[in-house]
Order: sequence, then structure tokens, then C-alpha cells
Amino acid sequence: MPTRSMPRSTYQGSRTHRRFGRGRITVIDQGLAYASLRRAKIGFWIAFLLIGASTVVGALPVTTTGAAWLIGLLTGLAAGSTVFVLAFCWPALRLTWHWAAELTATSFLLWAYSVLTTVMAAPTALVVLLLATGGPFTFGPARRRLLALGWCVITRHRLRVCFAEVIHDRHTDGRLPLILWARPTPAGERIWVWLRAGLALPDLAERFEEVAVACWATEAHAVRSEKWAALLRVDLTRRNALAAVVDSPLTDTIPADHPRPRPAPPRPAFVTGLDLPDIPEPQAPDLHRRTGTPFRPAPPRPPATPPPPATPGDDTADWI
Amino acid sequence: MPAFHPADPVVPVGPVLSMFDPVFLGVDEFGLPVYESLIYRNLLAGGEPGAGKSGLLNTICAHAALATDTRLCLLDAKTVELGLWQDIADVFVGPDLPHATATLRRLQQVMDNRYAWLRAGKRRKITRTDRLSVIVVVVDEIAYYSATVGTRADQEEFSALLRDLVARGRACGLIVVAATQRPSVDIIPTSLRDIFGYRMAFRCTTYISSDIVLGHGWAAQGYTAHTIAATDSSRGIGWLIAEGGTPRKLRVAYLTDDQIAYLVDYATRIRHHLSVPDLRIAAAAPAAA
Ligand SMILES: Nc1ncnc2c1ncn2[C@@H]1O[C@H](COP(=O)(O)OP(=O)(O)OP(=O)(O)O)[C@@H](O)[C@H]1O
Ligand SMILES: [Mg+2]
Repeated sequence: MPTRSMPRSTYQGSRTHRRFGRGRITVIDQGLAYASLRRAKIGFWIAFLLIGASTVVGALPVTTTGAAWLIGLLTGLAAGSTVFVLAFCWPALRLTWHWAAELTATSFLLWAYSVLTTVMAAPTALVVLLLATGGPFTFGPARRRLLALGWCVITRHRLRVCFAEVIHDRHTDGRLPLILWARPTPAGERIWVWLRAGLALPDLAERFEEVAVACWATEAHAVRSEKWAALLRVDLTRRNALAAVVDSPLTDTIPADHPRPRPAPPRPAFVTGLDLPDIPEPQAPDLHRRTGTPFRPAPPRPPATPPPPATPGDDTADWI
Repeated sequence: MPAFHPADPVVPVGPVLSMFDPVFLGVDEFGLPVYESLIYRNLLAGGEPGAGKSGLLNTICAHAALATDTRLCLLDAKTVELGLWQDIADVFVGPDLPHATATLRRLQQVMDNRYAWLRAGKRRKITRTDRLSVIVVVVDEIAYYSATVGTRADQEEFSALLRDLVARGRACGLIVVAATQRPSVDIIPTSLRDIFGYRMAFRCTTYISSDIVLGHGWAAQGYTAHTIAATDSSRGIGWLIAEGGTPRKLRVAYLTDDQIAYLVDYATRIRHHLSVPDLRIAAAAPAAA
């Protein structure tokens, strides 16, 4: 955990990680490794003491004192080491999660290749694998689906870059959010993000233009979950989903054997006066204009009802 | 004209909808379908002429028509917007203020009786299992009834009755869905406008008008309907405040006249068999609930 004595934030870690141009590719940088070691040690001691002590207390009534202490020590050690390993490996676990899609795809391809080579020659296996991978791209719907999934993978990485910039600009030691998962929507992608201490939705609210830029999208929106302030739903749009007329699904629920209604003959309508000259002009009350009396405008009348008092909440502005 | 099938040997039992089910309204800006439950809710739509308000009312009518537990009560000052549903509506009111007021008074009576019935059963609201009909009151162009024709007293009576239905109708299965271009104080009383829980703002000409529909302050947060383009391809797009409380941009589903005719024809068939007698019996036996 970055503290004042150790001001190297995870953000800077990931920055170093991105500077490939300078010939430095760091998977997990030094500061980060140190922080997780510290966290892991603390985790070990807490788990060891808590679990160990409660096991001793639980075991005392059923065994001898010595055995209870031994069992407590062993359980505490086991719990402590588990927590230690998890906490120490957390950056690696997070990285694995971040690259989960790529890792899964690659391992699947390697596995398929190794299976294929047991039944055919290596070059043939390679060709078969290439055809099997490329094949779906020749079929429209499959291609669209695959491309949409591809965008999801890309977006997860781009979003992380964005969050890193936001944290950098705020000069705080906020930690990078966990990008949970992404799925395609008809307009783009929907990504779930778990924020961590140091960042909240209002910090991001004004920066969605930047998020859209970073993700090569048209627009980006985010809403937080009603339950957890940390859980965000980020929506990226790449296509205008509202351009086409939306059909109601209700007509499809009608059973197919229900006959379409025949166009009904128009009901006989006896409506007259369909044009302006058909409606006689009303007798104008002030025909005196024609008879030569000079026209005087009516004096202004006081309003019939007094205007409503301007109370807050009442929309007197509407009268304007 | 819907075809009647009195000698139908088979009653279609296909997908029977209920007004207790969420209603499909359209597609949101992410292309995902929007379903909203309208039961125990009221909806007010606003927006400039031709923005798509009546399209929304028709979409809701379509669901109500296929819901066999639902009665439609339509008030349409333009008569053509909801006129296609006239044959399956229990009441259809055209540009006729006395008829509109009389209808609302009937509904008020139904509401009072239902509350008496609920009270006898020591309950507070009707549920899906009650087999009481849900009454959907759809008012297009409220302004005609509340600010255009009749005397001031008549208009006020209409507004007061409608306000009563919106205020008290919720728990007894009365849903009011209303549309008008600009629901400002000179059209409907603020006290009526502000009790509509769900709002939908279609394109407006100013952000103030948008705020009048959605509620004060939304425009400042970027939820304003005056930024919706005035093109044909953005008709039916608007901001909806429903469950969740934050406005959502969506494009309302649109039904063509032919589709409505087809739906009405089918609805006539399923309603003819299912709704009327059952409801009367159920209502007569509150103890069974
Ligand atoms: N959801 C929609 N999708 C596509 N087109 C629509 C949609 N809603 C409305 N339209 C088009 O816009 C036209 C006007 O819509 P509508 O009658 O619903 O407007 P309105 O808001 O009720 O206007 P008015 O205030 O004049 O009654 C319709 O005839 C239709 O062509
Ligand atoms: Mg209309």
C-alpha cells in the first residue's frame, strides 16, 4: 500500500510498465512488490493470530491443553500462509485477470495445437488451426459477434489507461480500479468496474469525453450501482442505437394461425365542412369599423385572478 | 373493424400478458430493450408537437390491449391518436369535456368501491391474484380538457378529478398515463403534474420546457430534451424517468396503423372469451381473497 513514506503509487508502477520505448519492460515494479510484501506480512500475522487463537479456544474443552495449543498453532500457520500467498500474489492475480481473455485464448490455441499434432504433422496442424480460427470470420453474424467480443477485450485495456490518467492528474495515491468484465451491447460495450479507495464516480463525471477518446468511442457514460458506490457500469457507444424505428415485439406474440385482418372498408362518414370556406364567418361584433366609427382598442382589464405567490417549488418561471 | 369470433372453437391461450408484467417501451441508447412496470405507477409525457407522445401512449395501449386483466379507458381530444383502440376500449372519450368529466367521476366511484372492498378484506392494495381488472386511463392532450374548452369551473373539475385518480388510484389498480405538450401551470395544476411518478420528456424547444416535464434541475445535470435533434429519425426519442430515478434516453417503439389493427383484432378475440364474466364474479367474492 502506498504511504507517505513510500510514495510510489501503483499508478506510477503501471506508468513504468507502459514505457516500452525506453527499453524497460517491468511486469511488476519494485515499489509494488515491496508494498505487497508488506501487506502480505501484515495479513499473515493477523490471520495467524485470529484463526490460531479462536482454534485454541474452540479446542480447549475437547482436548488437553497441549494438544489445543498445537492444533491452534498449526491452523494459524495454515491460515496465515494462505493469506500471505494471496496478498503477495495479488498484483500478479490482478494482471492475470486483466489479461484473462488473451491468456485463455492463447492457452486454448496451444492446447488445440498440441492435440492436433498427435494425429497429424505439425504444418498440417497449423493450417487446420488457422482455418478453424479464420473460418468464423467469413460468416457475417459470427464475424460480428467475434469483433464485438474483440472490442470488449480492447476496451478493458483502454479503460485502465484512462483511469490511470485520472489518478495521475489528481496527484493522489488512489489505486487503479478493478476492471471486472465487459460485454457487447448493440451500441458498443458495457463494462463493470470496481473502484478502490481514492476514486469515486464524481471524480470521473467530467472526464467521460476523455474516456470516450481513449476507448475510440462516440460517447461514454457511467452509473454507479444502487447498492455499492464502488461498482460502476460504464457504457461505451460506438453506433447510434436509436437511429432505426423500434418495432414492438407484441405483434410477434400473436399466434401465427390468427388471420391478418382484411383492410376494413372505411365507415360511411357524414362529415361536412372540411374546408375553410364551408364554415361561415361569425358575425363580427364590431361592425362599427365598417360603418365609419373610429376603432378604439379596449382598455386593459385587470387580471381575473391574482398571480400565484412566488413560493419555492412553484414554477412561476413558467409564466415567463 | 375487428373481426368477432363468437363461434371460435379454440380459445387462444398463447402468451397472455398482464398489466402486472413490465411493459416494453422501447430501446435505450445502448440498444438494449427497456421494460418498465407500470402497475402502481402513473406516467406523464411531454414534448413538442410531433415528438412522439402519442406513439408512447399507443405502445402502452398495445400492452394493455393484450393484457386480459386490463380495461382501457381512453380520453383523446384528437380522437385519431387512440381512436384505433376504440373497439376494445371500455370507454372512449373524444373532444367532449362533459363526457370526460363524467367518465372520471365513474372511475372515482370504482376507486372508492375498490378501497371499500380491500378494506373489507383487511388489505391495502390489489395484487395479481385478485382477478380484479387493472384500469388503464390514457389521456392524450390533457390541455384540451383542462385548459381549452368549457368554463373555468368545468376545467378545474376535470383537473381535480384527474388529480384524485392519480393520487389515490395507485393501490386499487388504476393507472393514469397522460400526455400534453407542455405541462406548465397554465395547462395543468402543479399539484397534478408533480404527483406523476414516471415522466417522459420528448423533444422540447427549450431546456426549461424539458425541466417542466422531467422535474426541476435535470437539465442542469445534462438530462435535457431540447438537445434531441428535430429530425424525422429522432422522433420518439426522449428521456424517461422511471424505476431507478435517473433519466434514461430511449426510443419508444412505434406501431403502424396496420400493426395496431392486427393487435386490436387479436385482442378482441382473446378479450371476448376471457375477461368480462370472470372479473364480475371475482369482484363479488372478496372473502375468497
Ligand atoms: N417512436 C417512434 N418511432 C418512429 N417514428 C415515430 C415515433 N413516434 C412518433 N413517430 C412519428 O412522428 C409522428 C408524430 O408522432 P406523434 O403523433 O406520436 O407525436 P405527438 O407528440 O403525439 O404530437 P402531438 O403533440 O401533435 O400530438 C408520427 O406520425 C410518426 O410518424
Ligand atoms: Mg399526439
